[in-house]
Amino acid sequence: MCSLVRLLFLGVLPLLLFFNSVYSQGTGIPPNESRTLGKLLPNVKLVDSYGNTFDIYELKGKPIILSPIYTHCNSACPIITDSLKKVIPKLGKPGEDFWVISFSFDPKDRIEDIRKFQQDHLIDGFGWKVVIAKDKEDLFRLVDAIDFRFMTLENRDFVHPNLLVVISPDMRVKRYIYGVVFDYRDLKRALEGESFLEKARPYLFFVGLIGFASTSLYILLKIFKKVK
Amino acid sequence: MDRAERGAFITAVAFMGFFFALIVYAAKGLNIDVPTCITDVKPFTQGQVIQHAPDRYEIHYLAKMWYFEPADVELPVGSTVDIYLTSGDVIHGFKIDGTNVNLMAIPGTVAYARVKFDKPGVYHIVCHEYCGIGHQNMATKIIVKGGEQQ
Repeated sequence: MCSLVRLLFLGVLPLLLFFNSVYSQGTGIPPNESRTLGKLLPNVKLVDSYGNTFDIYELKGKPIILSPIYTHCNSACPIITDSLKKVIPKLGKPGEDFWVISFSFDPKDRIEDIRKFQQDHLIDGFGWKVVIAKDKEDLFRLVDAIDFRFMTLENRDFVHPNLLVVISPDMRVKRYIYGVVFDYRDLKRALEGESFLEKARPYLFFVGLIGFASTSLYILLKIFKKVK
Repeated sequence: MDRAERGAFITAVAFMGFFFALIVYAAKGLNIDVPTCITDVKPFTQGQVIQHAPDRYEIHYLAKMWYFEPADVELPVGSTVDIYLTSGDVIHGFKIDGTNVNLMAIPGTVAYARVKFDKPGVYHIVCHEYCGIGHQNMATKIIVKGGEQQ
């Protein structure tokens, strides 16, 4: 009886709290990380706030902090951008150590909109670029590659998950960081080299599967042996 | 253990293993999405079709006694559609025939599923949860046009 109570307190309660915190974090539909992590980004054409068109693969060689936003946002996106502005000086210089891209996913956003966003938020526009996709096809290729889903509301508003995506120097989706305010340690860890766990991620599922299968096999054998 | 008992036991476990393997295959091999229920947004009060790109749509379905809004929708073949569904009154069902979209319209929440229409044709949508006296007439359709048929 006592052990049951202890199990509840040590095992189930933290689990419930964990799920609670996970659920309260996001709005909208969270991305399915298992489908995107480690996958190569498509080579989409982007347009920055100065009107220059470039391929995202031109940024190869440095990690990218990709921040999906839309310019008419007046709730989460400005907070995300301001938080990034506070955190980024602690990590290095954008353009030299890494790239920062604020990417507008609003299909209606034009260059004027992102230019205004760039000027309002005092973003330099070079190391930290504010971009839109060249055309709709590119937009949805990029949005699908990070499994970012949004729901359209009235007045050009959207329901969307609040997150940053860290892209590795070889253009693979590396890590998602959720929330509207960020801790520089999270970002630092994401920008650094891959940890063992990240390398093992594709195999984790199969390790679990083997564990599950062997456990059930063991239980079955046990049951039959007991009877025999 | 009796022989018959053991046979039943092994059969049951084998079936469970088979179904588990199917679930794993659906999730990992077929990339099937599980419907999502969004509970932290204010549900929309109007149904509408939003076109983002030539093959990208968002449809907001409002289920009410006893119709869906918007009514018939026409889409080009190959469209990827984000379907959002809410209810204006009681709980309704939402099943697009011929796809794996099977949602529940719950007042106060928004249900979500993504579907890609690869084949042209008429996709009937029915309410499959009893919602009152007019339930059997509650249906609409998506007409997917284009492709080889035309």
